[in-house]
Amino acid sequence: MGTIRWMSAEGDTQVQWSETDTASLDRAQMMIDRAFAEGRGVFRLDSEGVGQRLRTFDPTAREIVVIPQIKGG
Amino acid sequence: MAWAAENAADLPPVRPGQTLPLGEHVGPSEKADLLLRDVLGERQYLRMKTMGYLDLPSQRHAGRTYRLDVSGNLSYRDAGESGFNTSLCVQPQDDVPRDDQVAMRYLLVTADEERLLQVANPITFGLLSLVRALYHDFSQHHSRVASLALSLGIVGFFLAALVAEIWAVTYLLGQHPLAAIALIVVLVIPAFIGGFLVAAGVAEGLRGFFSLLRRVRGLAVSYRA
Repeated sequence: MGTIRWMSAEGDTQVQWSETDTASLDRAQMMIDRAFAEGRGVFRLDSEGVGQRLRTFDPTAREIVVIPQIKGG
Repeated sequence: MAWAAENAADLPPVRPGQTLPLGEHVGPSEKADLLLRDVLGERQYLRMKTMGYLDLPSQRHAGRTYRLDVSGNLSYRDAGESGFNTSLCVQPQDDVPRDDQVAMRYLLVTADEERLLQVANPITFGLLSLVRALYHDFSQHHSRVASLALSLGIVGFFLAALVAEIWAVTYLLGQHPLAAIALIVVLVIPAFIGGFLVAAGVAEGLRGFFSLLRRVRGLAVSYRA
């Protein structure tokens, strides 16, 4: 079971998927595709405090965090 | 789950609070705090809350350490520098709670430093740093050559105003008092900014000198050892 945590103004939106459930897997895949299309950063959380940038959806991930697009301040 | 896979082609935009296993009663800042705890891990989360900051080693620049504080401010210190003199300004395009911004910057430092450095605006109290910050801002909308010309042109204008002000006070005032006073009044603000830029240049020079000195001393100590 994996969870996407999509940052937004109201706090993160959480969507879960299971590797054995094709429908939830498709939903997660589309959500991550949308994140890439919008130029958002997508990170897999591995162990404590260790993240890894993703360039494609990883169905084996435990938790994926989607951050907003960024700009220089 | 709010989304149906069979309607995936008509995927709606992600709306805040679409799927909330935690319950609707959990507010944005509470959710952001929980996410921050997950992103940092328990040990670093507690450290940040008690110390007020985390020091994170750079993956790309040897000797560089980033400091991320509990408010989300991000700065770094390069090898040989005594303080975290350079602030990195990077903002989310969308409005997100403060702790989400902290988590976002943590992920950028630890897992996407390349992108962080491409996008973030480095700000230091120093002449070169100010030119770099100007160039960075202009380069968002203009070509490299135009951005460089604009940055140098602006800094050059203020420095020239300072020189003209000094000239008006020390030379022109004695020769043509009225013209001198008019020039002094017109240029007082740009000259003040020019003075600020000179001070920034001196500060940067001194910082560089002492940094070099510390590095040389460090090398000497390690050589003797």
